[in-house]
Amino acid sequence: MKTSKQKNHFNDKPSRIMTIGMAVTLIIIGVTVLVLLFLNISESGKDDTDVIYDRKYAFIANDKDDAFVVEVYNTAKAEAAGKGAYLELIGSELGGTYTSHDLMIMAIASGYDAIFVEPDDTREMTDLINRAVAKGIPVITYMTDDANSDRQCYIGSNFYLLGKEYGESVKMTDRGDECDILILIKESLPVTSRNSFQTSLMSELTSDKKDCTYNVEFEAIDTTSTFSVEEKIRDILLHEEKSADLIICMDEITTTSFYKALVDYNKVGTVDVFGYYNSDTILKGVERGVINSSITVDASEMGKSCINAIEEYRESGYVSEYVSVPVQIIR
Amino acid sequence: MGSLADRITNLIHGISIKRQLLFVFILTALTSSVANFVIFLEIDDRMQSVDAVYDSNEQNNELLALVENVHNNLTNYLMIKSTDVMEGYYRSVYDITDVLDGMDTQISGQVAPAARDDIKNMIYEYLAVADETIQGKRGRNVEKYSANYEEASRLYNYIRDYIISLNDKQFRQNTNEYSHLRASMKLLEVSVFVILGLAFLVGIGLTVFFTERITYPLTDLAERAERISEGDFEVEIPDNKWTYEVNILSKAFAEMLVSIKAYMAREKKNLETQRDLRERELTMEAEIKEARLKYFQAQVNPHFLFNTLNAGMQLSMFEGAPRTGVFLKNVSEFFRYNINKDDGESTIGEEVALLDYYFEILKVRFGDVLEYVKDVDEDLLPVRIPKMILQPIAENCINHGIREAEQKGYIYLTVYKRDEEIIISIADNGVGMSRELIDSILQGTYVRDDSSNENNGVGMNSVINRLRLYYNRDDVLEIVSEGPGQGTEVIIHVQDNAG
Repeated sequence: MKTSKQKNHFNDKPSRIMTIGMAVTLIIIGVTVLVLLFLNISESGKDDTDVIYDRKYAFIANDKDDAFVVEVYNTAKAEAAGKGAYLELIGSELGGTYTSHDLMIMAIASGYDAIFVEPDDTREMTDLINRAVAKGIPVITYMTDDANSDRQCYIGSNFYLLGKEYGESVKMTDRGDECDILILIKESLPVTSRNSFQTSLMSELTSDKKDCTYNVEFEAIDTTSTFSVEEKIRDILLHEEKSADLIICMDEITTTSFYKALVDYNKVGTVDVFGYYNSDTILKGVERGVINSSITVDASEMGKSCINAIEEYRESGYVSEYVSVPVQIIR
Repeated sequence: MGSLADRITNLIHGISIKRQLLFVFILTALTSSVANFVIFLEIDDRMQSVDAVYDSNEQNNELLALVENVHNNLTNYLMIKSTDVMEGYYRSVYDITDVLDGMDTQISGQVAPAARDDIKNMIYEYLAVADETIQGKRGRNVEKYSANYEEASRLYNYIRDYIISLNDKQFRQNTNEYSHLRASMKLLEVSVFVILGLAFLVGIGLTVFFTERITYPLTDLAERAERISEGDFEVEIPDNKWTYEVNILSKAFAEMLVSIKAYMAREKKNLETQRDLRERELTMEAEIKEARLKYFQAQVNPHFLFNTLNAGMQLSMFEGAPRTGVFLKNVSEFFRYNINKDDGESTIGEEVALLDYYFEILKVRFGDVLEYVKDVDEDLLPVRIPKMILQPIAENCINHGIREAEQKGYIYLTVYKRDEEIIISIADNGVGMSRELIDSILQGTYVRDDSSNENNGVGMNSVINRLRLYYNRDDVLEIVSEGPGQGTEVIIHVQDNAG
């Protein structure tokens, strides 16, 4: 015998049962849709075909680990992407070790639409730049220039100006009547840039203290070779008979290595150090007084200028031969 | 949600069992089919993704093999310079050019966007240099082909390194992708389990619900039918609108039950009426039989008496005594009435005639002391009334009203119609009756002395009972008396049958 409750269950409230049934069905559909949506969203996360570029530019760095160069590249890459171009750091993903000459050959053979290169003041590099230009690939030099080549534009600081800035910083130290200055430069730094730097430095140093004698010496370091910077600095600090009173480091890797070496070998205070760039390590060195001061070129500005220059060239066929990037002294 | 449910419920309401079953089967099959279909599509999509994961690596390896083949052929040609090697070289160049032409070199993606374009351009550059090398070899320009071969080799190494690097990078990316796909497949596995489980549960739920929905009304109806068959006609048949057939069946069943109940009520009423009628008939018959028995007891062998009276009447005529003859005739007619009439019914005319005979006989006995006065509406004479009603009443009037009075006795018989009734009144101017006596007579509690020889045997009780049974009303007879010395009137209210 059925109860009246059961009677109601079947005769009076069928919609309630139907509602429950439909709710369960909807839950299933909802769960299915949500799960599939989640799976598809997860899968779409790995989709790598979102941006299509119109053209490709090659960025060739002598030392792809240099923080300054990395910042220049990253800024330039972002700027290029905004203009529909892809900027490739040539050789960054290759297994072997390639010189900037090899990378130039690769960039030319790969048919890039433009090449940004840090020339090394060799005849071969000049020829490669000329070869690229001859193939219709515009070349822009940055950091250092190869004025003898057919490059379209140079973007970077003026070494004469840099020498003047370092001179002002050095003058602030009191080293008596005689001061030995050792300038650590990259091997790739062109002689013309070196001469320009030395001239302006000496000019600035002797402008006030004409009775002081400054002995300036250059030491070229191969920053591309593994451990060569560290070894060279070790030699300077520990083995040379007469160490310099004052060291000027002209790039980020050398500045960082020298700062670490001074601390490691307990030589802090024995020598005045003037660095280059504003990485966290270098800023810490300046803050602690290990590094007297540092001069930096605005890497972001340099990166943007590279892209702006090539875009200007593409649009008009002309571009300024030299685009200056401002320098800043960090004390 | 609720209104949607109502709408669907209304759609399903009142449809046939066949359609409901089809609806259930299709719904459950559809639920599981949709779930399976969606899952199948997803699995297929995943499988295609898995298949495509290492496609790029395979393409890279194929390209690398082709480049190696070209360079090996170039090197062999420079060393051997045979036609076969030359043909091999050109075939390999043809093969690689074919692949390069179909190569997608769009600069896009996150993994080395320009790498494939770089490789393609470098291979074209390499092929150009290699071609110059071949030309140099053919022209036996050793310096030229040596320099070109050196450049070609350098380019070959770059290309090789490029492809290997790209392969490595893509392999890492693909491995990540594969791991991701594996994880997603695992998740899909769990999802499939959950979805199929839910679909299964919903299928079961729907089947159980609809099966119960369809079978319950039938089972319920069967149970109610069984109760009815056991004699319980108070069972309610619920209105079931869910299933068309059951709805029809329920309605028919409910109507049938109502009809049965109405029929039974009618039958019961008829039986009760018949039983009542029969009971009254039996009682009346018993009363008549009792009256007749008493009459026969009072008059031993009435036929003999009747024949004797006739002989006396003829003798008196013969001997010249006509009054005696009339007297005997009246006596004879009086008894004839009692003997002949046998069905318990008579007419007012016959009853009045009997009363006439009776008073003619009494006149001989009492002379002028008793006066019989009648006023009868002739139209009412054929009206049927129970037999032996008026004479016993008149006899009671004489015996208990007039005989005990000192003055001359009058008996008044009046028959007339008033409204819808026929009034038969028998009144005397005798001693009258008290209220208590009237009540005891009407209630049947009065006991009189039956030893009196003056009574012909039919008492008032019998008259009252027969009248009440015949007309099925208690107030058919009333006795009115203003008190001692005021006379008594017995009034019979006869229902006009004609009316």
